Amino acid sequence: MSRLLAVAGLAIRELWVTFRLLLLVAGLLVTALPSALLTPQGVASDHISGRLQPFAIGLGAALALLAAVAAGSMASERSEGTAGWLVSRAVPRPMVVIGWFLAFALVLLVGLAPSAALVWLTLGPVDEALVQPLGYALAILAAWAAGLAVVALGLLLGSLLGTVSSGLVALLVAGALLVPPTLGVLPTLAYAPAPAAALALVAELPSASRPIADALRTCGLSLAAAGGVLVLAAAAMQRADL
Amino acid sequence: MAGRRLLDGVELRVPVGARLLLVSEPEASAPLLLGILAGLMRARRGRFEIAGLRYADDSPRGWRRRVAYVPPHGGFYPWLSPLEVLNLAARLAGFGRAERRQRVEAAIEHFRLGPVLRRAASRGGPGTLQRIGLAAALIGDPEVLLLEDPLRALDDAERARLLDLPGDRLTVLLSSTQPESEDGLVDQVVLLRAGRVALHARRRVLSERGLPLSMRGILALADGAPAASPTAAGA
Repeated sequence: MSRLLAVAGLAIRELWVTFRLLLLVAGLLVTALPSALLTPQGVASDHISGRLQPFAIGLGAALALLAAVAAGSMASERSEGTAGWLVSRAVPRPMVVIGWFLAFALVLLVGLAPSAALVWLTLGPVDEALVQPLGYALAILAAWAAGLAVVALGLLLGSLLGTVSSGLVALLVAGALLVPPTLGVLPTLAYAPAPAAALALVAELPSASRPIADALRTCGLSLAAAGGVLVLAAAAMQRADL
Repeated sequence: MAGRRLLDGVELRVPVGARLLLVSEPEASAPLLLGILAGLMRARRGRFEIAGLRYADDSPRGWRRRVAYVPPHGGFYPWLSPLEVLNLAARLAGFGRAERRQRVEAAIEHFRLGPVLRRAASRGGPGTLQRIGLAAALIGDPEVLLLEDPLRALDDAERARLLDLPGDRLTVLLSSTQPESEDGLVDQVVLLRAGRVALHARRRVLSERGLPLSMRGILALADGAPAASPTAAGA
C-alpha cells in the first residue's frame, strides 16, 4: 500500500510540475461557466435544461481531454524511462498503472466537485423543485465514474501507443463516446453506453423520471467499465517495453 | 545492422561476486541485455543465471527485489531532489523510517550529495543525476547491480572511487562503450557479437596474452581463442 501511494504521489507531482494538473482542473472548472453565465430564460424546466446541457457538453469535452492527458502521461512515463526506474525498484508494473489511475481520479474529483457545486448554486428555488439535490449529486458521482472509465481507456492506450498517437486516439474515442449523447444526438439516455449515459443524465436531469436509479445504474456500469479497462491497461503494461 | 537481431538466444551464467564487463558488437546489444535483465523488456529466448538467481523469478523475494539497474542518466523524475530520490528508493525497498534515515545519510556522505541535497536533481547536471542514480540503486542492498555506461560525466578518479563497490557478495554487470576506462573495476569480460556470447573470459586472460582491456583487445581475444567459460579460461 505504501508503494502504491508513493507512485500515486509521484504521479500527482508530475502532473503538477508539468502544469497538466492545472490544465485539467481549469478545464473542469470552465465547464461550469456557461451555466453560471446564462441568464434565466423560458419556462422553469427549459431554463434548467438550458443550464445543465452546456455543463454536460463541457464535461464531455473535459473528460475527453482528461483521457488524452492520461494516455499521453502513461506513454511518456514509458518513453522517458520513469516507469522503468520504478519497475527497476521492484514496483510491479500494474502498480504503476493503478498509481496513475488514482492520481487522475483525485484530480478529477478536485476539478469536478467545485464545478458541479458552482452549477448547483446557479439554480434558483424554482429549479430546485425539479432537480433534487440527491439526484444531482448522484448524477455528478456517475459523471465522475464516467471520467474514471475514460481515464482507464487513456491509460490502456498509453500503455500500447506513443505519446502523441495515444493522446489523439484517446481524445477522439472519449470525445465520440461522451459528447454526442449530451447533445441529444443518438443514443438516448436509456440506450447510451455506460460512461456516456452519466453525462446524458446530467443533461436531461430535469426531465428524468427516475434520476436516482438511473444515476446509480450508470455509476455502477461506469465503475465496472473502468475496472475492466484498467485490468486491460495493467495487462498491456505487463507486456510493454519500458 | 538492419534486419539483424541485437540479441539471439543469449545464455549467460555469472557467479556470485563477479565483476563483469559487458561489451558488444553492435554497441546496442549490451545495453539491451541489461534492460532485459532489469525487467524493462521481455526476452523471447535465452537463459540467464546471475549470482544464482534465475531470470525472471517474479516471486516477492525473487529477481526484481534482488537486482538493481542504473541507467546512464538517472531515469527518475528530474524535478525530485537527491534527498527525495534516496528516500523514495529506500521506501520502495521496504525499509522502516529509522533505517531509511540511516541509509540515506550514509549514501549522501559517500556520494557527496550534501551541497545539492534539496535542489531539483536536474539542476545539478548530468554528474549529479548519475551519482544519485547509483546511490539510489545501492540503497536497497541489491545482490546484483546492472550498470549501463555509468558515471560518464564524472572525472576518472571520482568515477573509480564510486565504482569501487565493496562486498564479496555483490555481483556487478557493467556495460561499457569505453572498456579501457573499466580497468581495475572488472574481473570478467563478456563480448556479445551478432546477438550471441562470443567470449566470456576472465580479465587476467587478456593480460596473459598481452592484450589491453579495450574493444580491440577483447576482439583479438575472441578471434584468437574459442569462447570459453571463465572457469576454464581462467584456470
